Amino acid sequence: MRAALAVWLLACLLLVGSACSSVDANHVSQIAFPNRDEFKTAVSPFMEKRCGALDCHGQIGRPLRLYSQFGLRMKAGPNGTRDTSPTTDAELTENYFAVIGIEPEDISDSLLSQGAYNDFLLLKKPLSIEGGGVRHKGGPVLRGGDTGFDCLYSWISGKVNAANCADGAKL
Amino acid sequence: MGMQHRTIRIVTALCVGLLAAFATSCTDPVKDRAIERLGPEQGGVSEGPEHRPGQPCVLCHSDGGPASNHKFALAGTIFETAKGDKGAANVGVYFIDSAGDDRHIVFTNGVGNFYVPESDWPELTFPLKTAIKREGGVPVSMQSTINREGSCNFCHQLPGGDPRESIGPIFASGGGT
Repeated sequence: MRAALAVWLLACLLLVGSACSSVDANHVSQIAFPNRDEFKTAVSPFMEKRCGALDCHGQIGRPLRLYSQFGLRMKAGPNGTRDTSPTTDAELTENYFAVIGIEPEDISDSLLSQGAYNDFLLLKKPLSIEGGGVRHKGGPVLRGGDTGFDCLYSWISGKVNAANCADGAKL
Repeated sequence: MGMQHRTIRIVTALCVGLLAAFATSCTDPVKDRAIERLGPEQGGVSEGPEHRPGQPCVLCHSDGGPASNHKFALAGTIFETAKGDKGAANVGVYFIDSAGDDRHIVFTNGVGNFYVPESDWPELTFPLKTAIKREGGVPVSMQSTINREGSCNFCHQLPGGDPRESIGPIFASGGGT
């Protein structure tokens, strides 16, 4: 009886031991992110207008939180009033991290493949399901051929089209 | 036989009771808390078109809200100034939705409230654009689109709200919003 129990315990220990594979302390995951300055000057202004309204992503509690002069501010203005100044550099930086933080590995893969890989939320959420997108609480907001969509795609591909970003920001 | 029938009746009654309990317990706690924060009726004004100016109307006037029998597609308040202390009457509010429907024009009442009943615009397609216009004045368009929120006062809160999350009240003097 005892021998059988010991065999079972040994088998269990071996099973557990083999499941815990060792971690290679020297392994480094290669992650590449699209250009931050281009995001600040071209992509964020587009997203602030088209995605960052107070009833959308410019709202505390929403995923992909976006700050802007048109929506959510990081800080109040003087004497607790509304800050009406242009979007600050700190807000632009937060927007950048919010965007690349959605699916960092996928965004990296897209950049490294110069846009060949495009199966991730930043590009699929704004589109209709019929247009290749996924369910978006705010509904479809862009179409594949839109200048706004090209703004996102061109940035993610490593060659931002600033003119299309500016055009896409027009309401 | 009589015993069996009584048992079936009791079990049926229990099932119906349980179903009713489940149905009524399916509420939205976030919405419930937001409604609770609005507090009671103010200034002796009872429920009606002129109550609660400045508050997010659709919160209650929607499914699951205490005024779900009068659902609104869009609603809000326009004040005379950015102070949000006096409603602006008879201001026209114009909308055009993503489907190009621009037939819905409403005017503010005596306290500045306006609303579009949901039954008047069941096919409303977000996002939409809006503008306000006072009689004899020039129309002033909102700088951004309305993307999914039917309560204008959700974003256009009265002074005293969190200025990071509010753009301030909609006001008519000088044609500003």
